[in-house]
Amino acid sequence: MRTDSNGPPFDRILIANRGEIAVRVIRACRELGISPIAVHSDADADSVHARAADRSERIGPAAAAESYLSIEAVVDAALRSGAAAVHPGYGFLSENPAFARAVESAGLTFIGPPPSTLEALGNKLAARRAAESAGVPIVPGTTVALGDDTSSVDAVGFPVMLKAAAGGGGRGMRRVDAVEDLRDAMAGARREAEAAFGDGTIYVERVVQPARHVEVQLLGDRHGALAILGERDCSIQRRHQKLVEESPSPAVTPEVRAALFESARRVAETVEFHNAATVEFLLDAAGRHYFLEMNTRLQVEHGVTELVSGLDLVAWQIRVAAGEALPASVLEPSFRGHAIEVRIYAEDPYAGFRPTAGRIGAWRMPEGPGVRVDTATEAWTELRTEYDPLLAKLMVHATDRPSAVARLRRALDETLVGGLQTDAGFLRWLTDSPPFLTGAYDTGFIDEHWGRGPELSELDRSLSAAAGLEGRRSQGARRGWAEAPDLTSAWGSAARRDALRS
Amino acid sequence: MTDYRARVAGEATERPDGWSIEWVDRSEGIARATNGDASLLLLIEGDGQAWWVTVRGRRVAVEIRSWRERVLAEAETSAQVAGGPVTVAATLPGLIVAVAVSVGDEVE
Repeated sequence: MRTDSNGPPFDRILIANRGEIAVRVIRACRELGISPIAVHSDADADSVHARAADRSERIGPAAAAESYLSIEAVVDAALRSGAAAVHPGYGFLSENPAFARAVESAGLTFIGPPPSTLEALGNKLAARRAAESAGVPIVPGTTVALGDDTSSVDAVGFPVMLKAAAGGGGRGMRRVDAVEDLRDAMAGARREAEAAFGDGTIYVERVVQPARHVEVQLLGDRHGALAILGERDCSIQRRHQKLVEESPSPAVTPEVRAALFESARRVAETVEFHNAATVEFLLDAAGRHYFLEMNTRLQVEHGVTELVSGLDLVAWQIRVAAGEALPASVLEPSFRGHAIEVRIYAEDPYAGFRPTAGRIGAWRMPEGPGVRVDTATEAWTELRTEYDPLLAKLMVHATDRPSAVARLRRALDETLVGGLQTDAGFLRWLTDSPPFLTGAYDTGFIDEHWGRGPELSELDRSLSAAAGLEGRRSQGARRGWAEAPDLTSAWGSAARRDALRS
Repeated sequence: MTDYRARVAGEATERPDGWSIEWVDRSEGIARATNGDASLLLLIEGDGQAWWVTVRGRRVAVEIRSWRERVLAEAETSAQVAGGPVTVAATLPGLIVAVAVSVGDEVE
């Protein structure tokens, strides 16, 4: 922890994560004068994040359970490396109170909320009870575990959503529309929750539909100060997972915003809180909000808030973990413009967003004014199927929402990913979709407006044909003077680049 | 020049009128389609008959066959359907100077 007020908050930080978020934290460390230490599984030994750090510690084989989810391996790596603090990123061990305790027991600083807070809010049922006791509206449903007696579900009223108490990321969730489907759905949700979290406890909430998913970013210091850093709208989702986030929310009026911020503050006050967290709400068509959960970590979509607030949330996580007090510029930031993030996933939106696998081919990300890309993906590399299929987060910032959408459209037109299908086609379609253009969308948007996507237009079909013909013609022409390698080969690409240089 | 034809999603597809394709970075397969008024970037990947074109973020499979490949493919299809003799057409006009097969040879 900081001893010299002019020096960096820590000399060395271990980043207990991989991929783009590890790179993001490494960048913040470097700007603060901190030496970043990465960790890697055997599958990631030569990955971007491992190479971006000052050094990287091996923590186990490719399977996440034996590497990135191994508390012992990560804490050992931190001690071996001489790190003074551990940043958990998001996912993996970031909300695991046992991990936070193990870090602190090893004499290191955990860059996140206290373990007791992770424990209190990690259980969704306990969080619902805490929110309710603080006078925050919760989604109608149960606040105790659902047992074999299902009379409480009847009282809630169908359709309902079964949810895992230890859950997150859509796992252990089942929508049930009628009582006759309840038993099977309960068994399925329990099984999935048990497998994912080691805890099969489930509870029930009424389905709020149509609904927006809106969340409030919090940042607290160790001295009791709490900054409320605006909201993000994350309503465009598939399988209960976010694809697009924007700030400010097009659905939030100043009155609703004030109510959301007040509820978020009340939830945070139910626990000992410092560092970064997000309080998630559902917003119904009448503008009423309902507490969903509090995520006690950095969110994937934190960059959207950074763009509109001008704050570096990761840097502030590190600084408040070192004991620094939040200044007025953070407690009362001035928000500017509009930001949108889209997630580029290795998924096929024309096949129900099914994950795709293979080798990344060409990789060209957009640039230019108001564009930010957070990624750890490289051209001509094998996509690891052991981990999250997120390839990149593409963010844009502009003076207002129409300008931000136009900028996003331009940025997506510059984005080219080869080797496998990604969701970029869906995202590009979205930027021309009337509900998105007007901001009038909800969590049912993809089911209602996309389905499995539109048919290929006649123009795009014939352009594809023309391009394929040009590819083959060009290949044949080059083979007139030399056997050209195929356009999908990494070695071929390298050879072509060498040939162009010589 | 070889007479190549394209099929997209199994359907014979022609080039669009008024559009042309030009390379931006051939080593990476990046090209530009333009009609003089509008343009868009494309990614072209593939080899031989199997190609993929990424247009507006969507990766589309495109089959490109030469006249010879089309004839051979049609012959193969006919053979599979009929199970009988197959007519093999030469790709160029000329004089046959030798026949390297005889009746009874196994053809795989």
